[in-house]
Amino acid sequence: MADTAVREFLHNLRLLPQTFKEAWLRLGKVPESEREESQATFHNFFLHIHSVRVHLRTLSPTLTWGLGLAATASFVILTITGVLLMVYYKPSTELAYQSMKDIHFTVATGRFIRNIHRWSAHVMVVAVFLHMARVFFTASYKKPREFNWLIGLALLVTTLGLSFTGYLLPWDQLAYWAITIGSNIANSPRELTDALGITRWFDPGGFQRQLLLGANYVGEDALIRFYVLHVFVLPLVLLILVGVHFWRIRKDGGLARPEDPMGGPAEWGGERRPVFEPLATKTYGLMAVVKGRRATVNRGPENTVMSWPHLLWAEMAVFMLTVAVSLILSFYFDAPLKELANPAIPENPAKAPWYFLGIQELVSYSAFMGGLVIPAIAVLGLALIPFLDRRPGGEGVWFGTPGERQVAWQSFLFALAVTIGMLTFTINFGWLRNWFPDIHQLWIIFINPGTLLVLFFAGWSLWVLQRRDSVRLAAVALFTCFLIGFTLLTYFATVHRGPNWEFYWWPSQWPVH
Amino acid sequence: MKDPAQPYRGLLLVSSLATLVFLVAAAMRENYLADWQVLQREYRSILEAKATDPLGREVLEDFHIELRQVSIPPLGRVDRCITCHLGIDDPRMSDVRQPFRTHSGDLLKHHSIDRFGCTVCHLGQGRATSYRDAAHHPLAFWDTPMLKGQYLQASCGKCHLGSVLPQAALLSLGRALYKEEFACDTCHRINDEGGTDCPELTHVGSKPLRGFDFSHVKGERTRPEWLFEHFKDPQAIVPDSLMPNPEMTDEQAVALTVLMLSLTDDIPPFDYILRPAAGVGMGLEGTDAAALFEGKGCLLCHQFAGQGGELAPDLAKLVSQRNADWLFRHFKNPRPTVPGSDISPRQLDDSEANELTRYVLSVH
Repeated sequence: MADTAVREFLHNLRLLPQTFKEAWLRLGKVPESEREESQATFHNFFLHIHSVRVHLRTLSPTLTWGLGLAATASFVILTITGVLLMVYYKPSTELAYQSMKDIHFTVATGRFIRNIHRWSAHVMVVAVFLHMARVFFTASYKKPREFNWLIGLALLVTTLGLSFTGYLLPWDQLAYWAITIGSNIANSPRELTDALGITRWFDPGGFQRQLLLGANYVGEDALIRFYVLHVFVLPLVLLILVGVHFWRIRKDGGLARPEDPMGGPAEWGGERRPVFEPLATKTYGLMAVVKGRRATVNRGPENTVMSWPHLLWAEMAVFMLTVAVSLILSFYFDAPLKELANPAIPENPAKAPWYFLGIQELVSYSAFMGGLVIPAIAVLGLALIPFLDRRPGGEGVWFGTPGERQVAWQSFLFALAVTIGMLTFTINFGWLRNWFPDIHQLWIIFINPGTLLVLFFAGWSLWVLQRRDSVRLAAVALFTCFLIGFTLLTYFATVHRGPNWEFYWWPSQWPVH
Repeated sequence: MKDPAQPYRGLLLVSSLATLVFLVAAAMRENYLADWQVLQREYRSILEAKATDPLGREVLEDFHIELRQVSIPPLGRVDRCITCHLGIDDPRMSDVRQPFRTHSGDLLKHHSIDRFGCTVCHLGQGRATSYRDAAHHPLAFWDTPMLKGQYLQASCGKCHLGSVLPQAALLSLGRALYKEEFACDTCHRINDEGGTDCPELTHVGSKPLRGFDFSHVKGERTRPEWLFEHFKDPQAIVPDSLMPNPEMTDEQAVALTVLMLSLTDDIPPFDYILRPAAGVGMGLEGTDAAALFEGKGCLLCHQFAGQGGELAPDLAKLVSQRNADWLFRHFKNPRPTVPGSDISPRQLDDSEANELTRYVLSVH
């Protein structure tokens, strides 16, 4: 008996690699049939978020440009490099800057890792913005995807929050003064309460800033708050939201796309792929109900291919492309690290992180409007789009509604002209304060280049609404204006604003010091 | 219809290859080809050439390619200069090229590397591990590039207070010129001494570079250059300056520049500082510090070591928060060190103040 057990043991030991592989991979080999390919997808924890088959349009690079995936990929890169940086970074005002220097000078490839972290953060912010534009211009927020558009908006805000909180951590002059500006933006309701003379009793601005900084100034408390938000709270929130975002894509029926014409199965590689034909002798239960108006029963697969391996190739390609772009940028361009933070020496100009510079430009007109009201209107407006534009049509097609491309072009030119005109006017002639020095601040709060821009954009959108009789086209008009306004203001504040927020053609013309 | 995943496979291949290439390149660049590694390999070959006796062979055997640093917590410094300056304490290296050469003079004899490091005298960025980042020359975003040539004497003034130093002739000359020849202290203030009408000079040597207006400076944009040109012609650098043109010789301007550069807020701890021996010979030798402490009535108001009054802050607490330099000035003339206080001055001279500082620091 003992002899048999020993033999069995040795036999099992010899088979160990094979049995482990089977236990691990379930299938234990490269899938060969479509049945095995579908098993590869839904038997795998990481892959089962995919549907087993994916529509050909989903794989078209010009539909999505892979932007959502690029944003996710940069988040993965940021998580990995972020953990590596956490090993060396010390979140204290005494040690933070020194630990940054040590990361640069002594940690093996430390500077490179930090560069990757910095560049992926920029890539992520850009990808998220562009992804939102893509979803908008392909009308992919329409029913049943309204809620996922909201999740996407929450992801945009979380991404900006992550990037902003990370900005402070190096504790250099750049970080210190950017966050000082940022926290002053949080303080902006004070402009209104001051103008009304009620700050003593009602001070939401001061409260917001104190909540953010844990003090009245940027110091140790702010640093530890930003650190906790940056490495724990916000990544967790982002992870959960991304999970819901992906899950909703699946439950809302995949990426938005127009109705397929009735027809047979997809053909490629010169071979006609088999259609699933229900047997008359068998009943088929419905495993899950997916929202949407497409009945797929008895219609066979319509222009779909197996997710394994086609979608996987696409996903891996976009992922590796994002990695490669981040690496190449990091190889050639170092992340900045200025002097140690010094509250006594303000940076001039002190600029917020680049994605907040459009807001900072508006804040330079009026803190309350530019820092709070206009951003709030923008976010609220974006959130309402899918609930106000409910007429179906054009989903999953770039500029899919008739007349959309034309409206987008017109809005582009309109926003370009109005924004440049407004900036030119303000720089050449000043504003109310220059003409009427004793005017009450309330006038400036409500009438300034920022609020006028919003009025121009809203007016244009309403005109399109009435003239074209289409909510979608009015939304296109407003969104295009918002996009152009945001981009132009960001560019303008980045390049053309110098010391004391004065206009300069180029940074090289800033007064030497 | 062709395979819809076809373009993605190509893209995946290209971007994976790019990723691999840049990862390997970055790893090589930072872990094998870094400045300091190339230099250390060169130094090893120098050591091999010089390993002619048993001692030389031992030095060679102990030599490993690695980062080297001196950490000096009292000075708040980590200096990695010796990662490249490998031969500074090896007398055999007087004939090799920099950065390997033996340190000049006999300065290291009195200022051991382990206690002083490098940047407390030379300035620059001690944590850096490359030539550029070490701020051998002015470097963006680093406020204290290395002091060069004769200006290096300024660093002696951080610890050697008031005394005449034969090795730092320019510093000594500057000190003499400041008080006597040009009487700068009629107008300017250093610590608590001097007039208050003109800019204070207490920490002018570490005033941030951003605080200087370089728009009229002809030479390099450095502190020494600004100060030198300013001494030669104040109005040329600060057009609306009220300072009379002192019409100095170049040597005088250099000497005063050295003095200014020595006035920094980077003050070494008490036991690094050599004070002028003022009270010596005035009957104060052997003063019992504790008796002096009690005799001066400090305990009437201050708490210290469990006794004393409660009108003023606990001295033990002050000692833990302030450095020796502050205590010294406090004992000499307390009011300017604690704005708004009504503490009465006790007429202590330098040696008594020194004594008291030593005492409270030792008891604490």
